[in-house]
Amino acid sequence: MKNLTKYLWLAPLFVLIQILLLNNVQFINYINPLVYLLLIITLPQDTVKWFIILYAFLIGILLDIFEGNIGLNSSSLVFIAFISTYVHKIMIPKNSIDIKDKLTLQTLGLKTFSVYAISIIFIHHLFLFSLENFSNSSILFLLLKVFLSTITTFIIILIFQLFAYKVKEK
Amino acid sequence: MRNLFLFLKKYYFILLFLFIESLSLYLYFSNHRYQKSKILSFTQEYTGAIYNYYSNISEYLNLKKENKFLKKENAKLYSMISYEKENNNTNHLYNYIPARIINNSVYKKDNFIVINRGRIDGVKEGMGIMTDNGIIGIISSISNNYSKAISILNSKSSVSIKHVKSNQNGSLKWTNHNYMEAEINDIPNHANISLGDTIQSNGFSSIFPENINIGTIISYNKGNENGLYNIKVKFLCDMNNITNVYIINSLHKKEIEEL
Repeated sequence: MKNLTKYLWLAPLFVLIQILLLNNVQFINYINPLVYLLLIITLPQDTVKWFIILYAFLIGILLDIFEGNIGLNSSSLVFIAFISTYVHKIMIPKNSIDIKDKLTLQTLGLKTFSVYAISIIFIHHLFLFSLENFSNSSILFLLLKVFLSTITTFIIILIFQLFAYKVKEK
Repeated sequence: MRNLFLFLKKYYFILLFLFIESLSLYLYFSNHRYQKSKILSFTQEYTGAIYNYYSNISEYLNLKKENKFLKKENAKLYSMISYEKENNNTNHLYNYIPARIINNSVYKKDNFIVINRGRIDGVKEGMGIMTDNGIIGIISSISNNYSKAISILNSKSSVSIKHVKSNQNGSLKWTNHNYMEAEINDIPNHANISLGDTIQSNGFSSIFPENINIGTIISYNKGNENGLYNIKVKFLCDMNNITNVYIINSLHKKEIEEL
């Protein structure tokens, strides 16, 4: 439970990072990194299930309020929170880690973490961008945007993880 | 009853998910914009304050360029005033409120702008926002100190314009993902159009004054079926790089609407 309170105050911090920094540095139309996904990705496997859903909804609604488009981010985040509990079961080998551990680069190792994180990021981006460009957009544009953004988000999340790793070691 | 509880206990996760997911999707797709604007105008005062604080810092980076731009504009306005004085033209149609953009997006499908003027400064819903060379948007919701506008880069916005050379009227819509371009699809085939022609606002909507430059034509082709041109227009102002804007208070708007 102590872990979860930490997650709660990390949510507004990541939302601010997203709206003030990352939403301003998109340099090409196709790339839009969404780093707040890190919070959903690293939640431990034994987290109470209702907490995951409500937590995702909280982050989503905060983002929606700032971006002025109620429902867009919250619906895609709630969706990915729901999916992530099943992705855990498929992607993470049983007994490889303690279920109380956070799912980080440190605990999972690079290979498992990349596969797990990329699949979550990809599903989320696909859901979000197809919802956003619901009617007027070509499929090619959509797929390219999802693909490029997934890579960028993953790289930035890796960098965040490496920083956390180093701080802990010290 | 006991079975019901057992059922709820077993499936509460999926039920909770379905409930919250459908709530958010309903809010996103609902055409009743009432709930949305209620939520947003309630939170706007706080989000506006945060954006304002941040833009106060980042503003310093563009200070020199902005200064140059404003000087140029000032000189132009001086010459206009002297011209009006000579002609004793004192019938004002529009008031201008200077404002600063504190948050702006250009890459989404529906872009919005937040500016640092609100109810206290006399801003009302439905007023237009412009710069020296372009139309920026229309105010959609206001709080005491901040207001939010639907950007011209929004799938729902359309501006009534005219092609200067032929004096044909039409409406400008933003349809694609490129924030420098927009389309006009209702100018008839017989009009004489060439590349590089200027598009200006016409005063029909009574939100924007007449003769504001908006953009130039970069490509056009004749539509076969409907007898109308497909025209692509490049905006004159870089929507990603504007800070100082003017809110337009149209003094005769009410009178025109009552007709």
